[in-house]
Amino acid sequence: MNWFFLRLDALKDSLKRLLSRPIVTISNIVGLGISIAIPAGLFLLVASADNLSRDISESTQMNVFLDLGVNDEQVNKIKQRLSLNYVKEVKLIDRDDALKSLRENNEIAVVLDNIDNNPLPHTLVVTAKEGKLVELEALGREAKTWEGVDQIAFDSDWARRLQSFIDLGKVVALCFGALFAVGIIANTYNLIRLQVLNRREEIEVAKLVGATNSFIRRPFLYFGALQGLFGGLLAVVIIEIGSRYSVSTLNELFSQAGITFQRLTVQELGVLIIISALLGIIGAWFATNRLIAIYNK
Amino acid sequence: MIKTEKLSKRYPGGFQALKNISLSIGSGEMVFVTGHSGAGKSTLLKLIGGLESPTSGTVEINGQDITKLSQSAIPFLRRNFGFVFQDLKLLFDRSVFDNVALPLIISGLPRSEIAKRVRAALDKVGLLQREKVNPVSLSGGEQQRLCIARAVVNKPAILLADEPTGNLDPAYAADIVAMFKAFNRVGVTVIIATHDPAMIEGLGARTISIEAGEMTL
Repeated sequence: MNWFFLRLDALKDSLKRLLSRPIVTISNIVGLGISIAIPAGLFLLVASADNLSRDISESTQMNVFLDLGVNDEQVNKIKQRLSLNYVKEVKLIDRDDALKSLRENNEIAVVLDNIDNNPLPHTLVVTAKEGKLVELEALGREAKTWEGVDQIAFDSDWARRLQSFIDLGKVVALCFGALFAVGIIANTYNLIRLQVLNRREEIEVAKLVGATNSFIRRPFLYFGALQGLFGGLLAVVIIEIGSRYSVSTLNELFSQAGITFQRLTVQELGVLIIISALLGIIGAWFATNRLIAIYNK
Repeated sequence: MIKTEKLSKRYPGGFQALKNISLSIGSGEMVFVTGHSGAGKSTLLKLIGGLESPTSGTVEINGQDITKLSQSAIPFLRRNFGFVFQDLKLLFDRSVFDNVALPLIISGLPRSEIAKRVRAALDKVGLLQREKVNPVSLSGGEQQRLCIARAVVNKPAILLADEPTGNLDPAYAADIVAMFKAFNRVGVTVIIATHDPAMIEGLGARTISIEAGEMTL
């Protein structure tokens, strides 16, 4: 029972202190919430793009654009040359079909109406078997020299470029996260240190009448944890509101690119709150650690 | 049972507060430690109560040498003592009640039990009606009694009081001494440091005299 009452008292004490200076508390929590929401939000964006580009960069597809003037016989010949044992499928997109599907887009249709000839080439979409990207690339290099072949394009090319940008974005998000985490710890450290200094008399008397170090430290740790907890909750609210309004807009914007922006899952939001509370505890621990040792005599 | 053996304390800077104090105080005894200011009375009480550690020598409480206790065991040792500090060490950011409740909160007692014990302690020192006020509004004598209430609320086996009548007029001082006598009667070992010979008169209690850090009797 003692175990429970000791902690209950410390928790009450911390809550009382949080509530006793509402303006300070609120501004601290807002600061915490924003510091956590920014890197988390950034990471969310980067992670969404990451999923897509990973899919593509591993895709074993290439587009073989043929010369405008090739006839059906040549097309078939090229198609046969491409159908090697590691190739799963070679699909022809006829230039007329391509034009038709392009016409379905009203804006482009206007442009196409002003062009007499079909500007689109026949396209062969070559899909290799899984894991045969290297072979496919070699095939592409060779095919480029064939008669009737105009250009080769790999999906994986631009996806790789995108991926390197995303990797950079990830590093940036992580750096932001780390910096903000250090900021949160330092901030909590300062705040709790001031509190410990303000309560010096109380701490000294408590130690004289038999308080253990953990008894002294407990309300400060709880204070840090509670503040971090509320900061984390606020961050979750910020991220949820932000993604509610932006996810659908972003998805519309990037639907062509096939990127779907996700929202954080409940587990991820929970982890965010726990991390935030932990940062508060770490700051409080550092602050109390040194000062309590000083008061020990 | 308290026993010290060749107890010495030298403070940083070289001041020798105590030299070779060997004494023994039986459980349930009432003992006065007398001497001039600066003779080492406070230091002796602090060493017995584990508030400071000696430079050399031992302090045994019920057969256990407390100078060999680890840092983490010290708080639990202190809970066996009631301290009446020379400078009272009251907290003025909380009520009389909360001042007395502090040692019980530290021990982790449930709220209802704390309230009962605090009121009993306040009753013994005659401050029950003042439990809600801030100690600032108490007189010097009342503050002294508040400090005593906090010292006894944990039902300690040993009560250590450092100049408990220091700044009080004789009538008040007699009150305080009577209070300690009452605690002693119910079995508490009481050790009082004082420079005031009038306080000891007529009590028939044992006196330990200290001069310049050494026992003279």
